[in-house]
Amino acid sequence: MLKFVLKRVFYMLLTLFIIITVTFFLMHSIPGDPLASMARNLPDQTRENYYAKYGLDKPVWEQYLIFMKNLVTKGDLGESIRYPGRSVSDTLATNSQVSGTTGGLALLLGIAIGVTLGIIAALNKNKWPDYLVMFIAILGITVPVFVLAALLQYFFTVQFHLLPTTGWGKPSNLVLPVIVLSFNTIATYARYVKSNMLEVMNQDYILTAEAKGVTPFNVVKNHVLRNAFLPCITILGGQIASVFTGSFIVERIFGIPGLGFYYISSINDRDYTMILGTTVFFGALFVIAQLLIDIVYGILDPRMRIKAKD
Amino acid sequence: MKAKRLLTSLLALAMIAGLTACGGEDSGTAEQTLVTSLAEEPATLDPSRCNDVVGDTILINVMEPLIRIQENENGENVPTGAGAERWESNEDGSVWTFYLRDNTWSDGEPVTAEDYVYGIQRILDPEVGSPISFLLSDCIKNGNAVNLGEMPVSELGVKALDEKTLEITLEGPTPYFLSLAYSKAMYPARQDIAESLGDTYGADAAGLVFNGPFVVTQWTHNSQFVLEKNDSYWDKDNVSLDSITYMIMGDENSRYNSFENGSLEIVTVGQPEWIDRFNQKDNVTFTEYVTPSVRFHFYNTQDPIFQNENIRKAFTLALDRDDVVETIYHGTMLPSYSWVPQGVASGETISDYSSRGTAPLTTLIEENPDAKALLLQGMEELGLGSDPSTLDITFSFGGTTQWLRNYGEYLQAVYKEALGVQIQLEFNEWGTFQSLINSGDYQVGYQVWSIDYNDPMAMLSLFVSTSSAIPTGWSNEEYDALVAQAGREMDDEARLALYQQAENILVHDAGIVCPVVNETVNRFHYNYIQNLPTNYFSSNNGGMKYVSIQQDS
Amino acid sequence: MDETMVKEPIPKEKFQVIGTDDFSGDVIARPQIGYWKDAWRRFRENKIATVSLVVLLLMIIMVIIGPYINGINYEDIDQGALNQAPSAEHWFGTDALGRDLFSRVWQAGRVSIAIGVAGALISTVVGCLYGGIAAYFGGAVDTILMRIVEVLFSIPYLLIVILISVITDSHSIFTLMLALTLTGWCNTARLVRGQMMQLKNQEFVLAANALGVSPWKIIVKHLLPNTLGVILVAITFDIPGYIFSEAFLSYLGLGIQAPNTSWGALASAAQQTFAFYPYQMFFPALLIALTMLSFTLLGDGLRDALDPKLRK
Repeated sequence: MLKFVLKRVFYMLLTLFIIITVTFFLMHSIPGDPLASMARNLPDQTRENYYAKYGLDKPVWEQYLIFMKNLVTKGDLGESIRYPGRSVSDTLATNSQVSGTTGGLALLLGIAIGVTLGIIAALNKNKWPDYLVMFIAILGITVPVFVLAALLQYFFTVQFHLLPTTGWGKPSNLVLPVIVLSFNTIATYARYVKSNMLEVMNQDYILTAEAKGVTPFNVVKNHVLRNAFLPCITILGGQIASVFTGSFIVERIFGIPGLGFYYISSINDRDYTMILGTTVFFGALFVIAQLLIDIVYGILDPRMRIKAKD
Repeated sequence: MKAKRLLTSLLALAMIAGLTACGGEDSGTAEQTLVTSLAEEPATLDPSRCNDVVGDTILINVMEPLIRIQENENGENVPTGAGAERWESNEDGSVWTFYLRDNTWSDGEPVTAEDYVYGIQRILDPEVGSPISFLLSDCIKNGNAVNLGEMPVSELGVKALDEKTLEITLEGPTPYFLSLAYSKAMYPARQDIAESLGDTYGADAAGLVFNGPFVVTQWTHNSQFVLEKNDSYWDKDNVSLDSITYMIMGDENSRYNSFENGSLEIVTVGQPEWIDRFNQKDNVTFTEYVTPSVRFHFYNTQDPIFQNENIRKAFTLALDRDDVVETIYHGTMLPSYSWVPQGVASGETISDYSSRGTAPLTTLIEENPDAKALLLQGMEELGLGSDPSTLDITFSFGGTTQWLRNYGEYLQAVYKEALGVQIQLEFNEWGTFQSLINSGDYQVGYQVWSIDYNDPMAMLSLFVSTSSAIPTGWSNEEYDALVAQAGREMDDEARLALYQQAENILVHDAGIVCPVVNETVNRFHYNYIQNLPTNYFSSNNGGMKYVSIQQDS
Repeated sequence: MDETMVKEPIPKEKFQVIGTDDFSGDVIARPQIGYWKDAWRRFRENKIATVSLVVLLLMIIMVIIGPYINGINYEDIDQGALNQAPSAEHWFGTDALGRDLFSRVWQAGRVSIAIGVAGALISTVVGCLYGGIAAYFGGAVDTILMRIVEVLFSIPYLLIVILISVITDSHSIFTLMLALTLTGWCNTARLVRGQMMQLKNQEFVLAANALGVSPWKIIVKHLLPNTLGVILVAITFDIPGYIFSEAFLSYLGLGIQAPNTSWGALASAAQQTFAFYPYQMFFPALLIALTMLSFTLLGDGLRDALDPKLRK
């Protein structure tokens, strides 16, 4: 097991290295640069000084070497260019906490409701609870996030005066964004859990269990759910990383100081250091999540443990 | 990190406690707090590196410029002593002396003339790389040389004669200098603070000191600012508000919803539907004023098609500005027929430049009733045949908002109908757009320009050959000469004539820019808020200093 | 060879024909039903799925002819009819520039359905094969393939979209599709791989392996059909997923170019004023929901029809 983990950690670092390298050259190859609008009124000489200050006058590969050197030797992601004086790692640390809180709560709520709904739907296939769940699930993904957010905001803050419109810091600020963010998760899990349960329930081992006289509750609990959860774990792996990177639209509408803003705006502003920072952050979370998933697969599915050894 | 935040909140608490303790005589009055919004996060609070409207909004409330604009009872703008008690110039207007009043920074240090000197030096110091250096570089003595790094900053024509006397020497007589003195370019700065904070100066509220009516006590990035009354401010007796909260809200609808339910107390509205709705509320006041900002198209004169002035003029004339105002803005903006927007003063005797003479575009429209004929004439001159639908033309936009895309689609329809040209649209983020137009990689661009100081010079100087602000590739010696001459002409009427001649060359003769509309601000506030400024310059330079909350009767 | 094994041959004359018994009882009187025919029969029995199919076909027909039905061009601006509610003249009302929403909604449907369906198809095919190969071969192949997915997944896809539109110098529907699918299949690949890892150690795969079936055939014929449930759910998520990705790109100015439009673009255009003109938001949102609903129910019907195990 230790050898397996060590090997995977090595792969993780390699993957991260490739992600950084590809992103670095990708972002330098698209038109625009971070200082274009700041420096637009400056005389040429001053403009050159300005670019030199951020090292943007050097050839791209040299900038790449400098960035990698700082990252590897000092763990330094540099300073934002768009927001002078702000350290990228501080921004990531502060804002990912905010996104993590909202996103994490939304994920938990979404999974709890989604899985419950999925189980209800599967056990009542083609009866009304099934259709109701399907309806909710479809609503959850067909209503665009900005529509849902705007609707909830209008009704709960303007019509009923129940909750604050925007802001951050009070528990009441969390309610609407968490609900909005959880909709998609509810829909996703409800659909996948239902579909997988139906599939598992037709497997021979379930028949065996039923034939042996295991109670329906225990069949579902011990045999069906355990197997039906596997695809959900794959999805979870993609979501864990996204939880911390936040949602641009929801943050904007509810005034939440999360990381989603930086993820989009850094690209729009061509804020090179911030682009790399957010990418490294997301990439690291994502590869770690993948590792965890593969380990969890092994725990949930005994048949796969043999593979994990090599 | 956590400990730091705890400390700041404790400090804030202590300050609030202190305020309530010493504000004993105010007991029984309305709570002097205000909640309003900013549309985005400012890049920095370092005045020399701040280049966004939102940053300016905060800075004017926490820093003291030399002069502030105050409205008199008729709503006219009167430059009033702020950081400076009084000022004078020599006979030809080339040397200005400011006599500072006694004021203290929020950490108790006195505000000295050196602080103002250092503030101005930072704007022109090439090491700082200020994006607003162009405001001062042509006007202050040795400004350009210092900005280019050819001279040390100490050679700049800005000197502290003593603790309280500031002398500014200009390159020559500059009639509009006073309007620069109340622009954002002349805030004081503390050398010790700036140097100890280094690159992080202005990145956070912590460690900053202020000398304006308020201080920043909390800056949660991308969330909110909390400003509290500055007890060491010289004029604190005239400051009523105890605290102002600026919520950072990127989404327009969220701002409107927040105003509707009362959690925001002031809002500016761009949507006519919301204006109608708020007008129906009975406890709010509506204020509408012109901002000296022009929304315009500009042509790349190096482009194979738009090198022709008849084609440029055809595109300018094909647009019906009244229809734009109706269809696009639903009557919330004003049609524009000149480059210098409305509401700009030209010296002390002319309060609105645009009210004098005929606008250059009006003349052009009268002379050329048929825009399409002009286009065909231009095409013939270039040997492009006589079929406008063969022209390959792209409009570039520096933004990707829904509104901008609507506007682009409107232009597509208008030009197809009026000229028979099918234009392409290109939307890019602001930074990319700037790179493209700076490198001349565009045909027609759309942009908004808000005036930087209160004089037509701020608009007309953008098109002289040495300026790269709006890179059209156009240069005209006569225009350059007229603008230069106006910049030294101390007589208001004579200067006005020079400005008008120059503007006529730019818009009427050469057709370089196509002004479309003047912006207006449509603002609502709850009735209990008193003394809000009612025009652009007083809002920008007065800030919230005199605003108060009405007492409950 | 053992000599005792050699036997005397049996003389031919010892055999004789004695006539056949009556096999009429075993005659297959009904026509033979193959797998696909059977599936189609089961599918037709599923009323909900059939209705969905009809609705989808209707949508496709409307998307083709819809923009021409009421005779108002979808790009015509009418200054006299801004933001009008649905009426006899403008069936779905007009937008902020006075354009007819009925014509626009169907025109937009072309882009949205094309992007949704094509995107989902491409990412399903690529994702299934990729995930299948990774899961079946395992070991080094799996490691390398999955690391590539991690890289693609982590690179900000906005950068890729911008780069592609710069390289191809266009914002056409094909550029958009390319940009969206380039990384869009990663999720399907991860899902399919996860599912197949579970399946590949099952007995039927072992049996197929032992019988010498080629890996390609095992993946396509044995493993994929057993992951059908997950794949179909993924497809039904992918379709609105692509429609909204396009909408988000439109929101950022990287989507479909005017005067062309899409459902996502219409919905986001309506967002600012939806409190005043709810119908501008309602119709595109309704059509997105209807498309999505039909595809989901159709998908469920297909799974029931195609998967013999689920027959009850």
